[in-house]
Amino acid sequence: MTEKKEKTPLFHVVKRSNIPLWQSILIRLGFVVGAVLVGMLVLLITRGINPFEALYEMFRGSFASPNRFFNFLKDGALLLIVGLALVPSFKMKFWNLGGNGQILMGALVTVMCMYYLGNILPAGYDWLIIICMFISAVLAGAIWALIPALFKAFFNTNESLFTLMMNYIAVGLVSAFITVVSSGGGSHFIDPDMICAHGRIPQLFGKEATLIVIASLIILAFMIYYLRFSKHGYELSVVGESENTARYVGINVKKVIIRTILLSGAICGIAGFLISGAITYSVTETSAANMGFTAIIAVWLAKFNPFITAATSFFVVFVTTGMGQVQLAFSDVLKNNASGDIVMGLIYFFIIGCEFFIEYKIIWNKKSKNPLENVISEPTEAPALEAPEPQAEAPAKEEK
Amino acid sequence: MVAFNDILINIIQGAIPLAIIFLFGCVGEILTEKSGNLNLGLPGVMCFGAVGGVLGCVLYMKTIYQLWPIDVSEPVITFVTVLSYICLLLFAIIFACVFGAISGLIFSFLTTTLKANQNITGLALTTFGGGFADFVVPLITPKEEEKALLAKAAKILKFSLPYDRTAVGIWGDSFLNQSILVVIGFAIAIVAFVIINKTRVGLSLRSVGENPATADAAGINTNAYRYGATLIGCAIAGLGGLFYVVKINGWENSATLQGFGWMVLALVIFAVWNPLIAIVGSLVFGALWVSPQSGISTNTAAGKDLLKITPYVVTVVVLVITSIVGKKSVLPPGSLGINYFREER
Repeated sequence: MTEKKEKTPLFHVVKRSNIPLWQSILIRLGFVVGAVLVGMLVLLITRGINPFEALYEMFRGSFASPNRFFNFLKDGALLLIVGLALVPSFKMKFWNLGGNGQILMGALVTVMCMYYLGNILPAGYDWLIIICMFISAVLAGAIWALIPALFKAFFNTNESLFTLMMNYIAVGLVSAFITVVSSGGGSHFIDPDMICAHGRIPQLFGKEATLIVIASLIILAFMIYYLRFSKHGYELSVVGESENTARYVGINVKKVIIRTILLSGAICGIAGFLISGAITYSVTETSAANMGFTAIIAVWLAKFNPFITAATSFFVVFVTTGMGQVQLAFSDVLKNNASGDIVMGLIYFFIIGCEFFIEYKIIWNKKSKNPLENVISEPTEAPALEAPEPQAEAPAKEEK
Repeated sequence: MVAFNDILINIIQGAIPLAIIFLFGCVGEILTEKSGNLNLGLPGVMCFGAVGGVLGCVLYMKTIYQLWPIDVSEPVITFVTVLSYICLLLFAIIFACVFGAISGLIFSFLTTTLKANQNITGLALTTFGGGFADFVVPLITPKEEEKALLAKAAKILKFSLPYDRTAVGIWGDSFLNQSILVVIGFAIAIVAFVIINKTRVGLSLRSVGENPATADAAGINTNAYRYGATLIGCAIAGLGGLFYVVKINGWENSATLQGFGWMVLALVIFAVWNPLIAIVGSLVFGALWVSPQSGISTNTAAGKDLLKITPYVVTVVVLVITSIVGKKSVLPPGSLGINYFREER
């Protein structure tokens, strides 16, 4: 009998049982820093920008002046609110890609309240308008999320595609509203002083950021309580882990899905309420500033942990504003803000790739004459994984 | 008062080029999704393709065009011009495909090899692709001179196949006066349909998308199929980016193309993962997209804005109906968006 040559693959991949939180955070942090450095390297090679100057400008973007710092706080807190809205739905493995639409609907009805109620009610009833704004924004965001959730719960309709479409429908509705309101001059624009003079949310301590930060802290506290200490939070994480398990232990899966997504949409609605009611006093097709998508990444970086979401949201805002500042500082060689997208994209790729090394471990197969021995003598602990090389190279290659 | 005929011809002429952008993207994405990979990075992939297209066109203009020029305003058919034209076609298509495939490789590597979440990877690819295009295209065409060359190449790529213009009338003209890329688009859709539904490879591909564990047990290399389908799909979608460059004679920024990319994701659902329906669907979506600008008067000014969202509303309706009907032939591939890890059963 001829001996069949058995080829042992170089390595195989097994799922890790567990990894300490601090260790996983450290791995991610390393990858993020690596991504920023690669981005700087790209700027150096293609545009000849000194990486140290670029890094300096990046910090200046958020910290150069008190105004910038308050803006940084405001944007970070807003992103945090949206991220917190998405945490429960993602924890339930409901891919809510409709954050943009839900924010936009909240913003839209906020402006509608300001416009229509502001015309009806006499001056001095701003508080009533604000209450109406809040309630209707919460409802609008919740309803916009509820529609896909209902179909997901009852007909198992693909929720990521459905929520994606809802974004564009919301954009269309906003566009139509702007046309209706501004039809006079033929301009496609909402003038804050004409349309949204009433029902403006007052600034606390003379800064926009204060209110937003306080709101985000309240929602953060609520979300930590909700996810960690309430029965609802427990149920939704069971549904996320395994729908069948949830069903066997007697959890009403449909109810949990709908309830969680209502909450998710409602908080997105609040974000819209804050954007239109307290910051811009207006609404445009891009009022959501793509936060529905950006927040997904922030939440993903934080592994659906509300606490860490706070850190990641501010980090994402820091990088985005920082790259905006880099573009301003080097505007003679950087014509548009594409470099910001590239650096963000690189960070995303690195983070996404590094999940693999957190969740799985690679076991290098030792060469041995007897193939059976390999299986038996499998090492129990993973060899040290400092293997960022494979995907560190992949995105970097495209730059050339 | 604009005559109804004129409006219709306007729509047809505007819709077909758009439809082809949609169709390339859609066929590519159908192929990708049939393998179970939900590539939400499609807008980014199309941007990659556009970069490739720009690069190919500029390279051609700087080399072969200098030897064998083509008169853009008054093309004459001779052996040399035809040869030159074919070279341009090859340059543009190959570069667009390769760049599209590179972005597909990033996606596949992260999702299939590193088992990353497909939704997140897709969103990241969209961000990166848009930035990549806006960053690299100005590097390829830094001065007005290169931009002019690119516009010239785009005009040449817009040439239709020769036909007798007087014989077909204004209606025939609006259909026939289209770039050869349009013909290629329709051809690719039909070929994709045949391969997916009528061949053994297609059967294996569908089985990987429906249930990779079963396919794996049957001895099908699931990773190879997912890589292959995604790479080829992204290459085809890259042609959509190329055609966008051809349509607008150059490059402004990635925003519009990304908008088209999201539209394509809707179209895939509308077409219930069938390339033949995608042909019809892309024409319908193209018509819906251009009709607000083509002289149709609506009762209210906001009507035009609402007309723009009809594709998305229709898509939602299709998505809901198909999921309620629940027939296998109209449902998304069973494992769409879910990675397959053999040791996880």
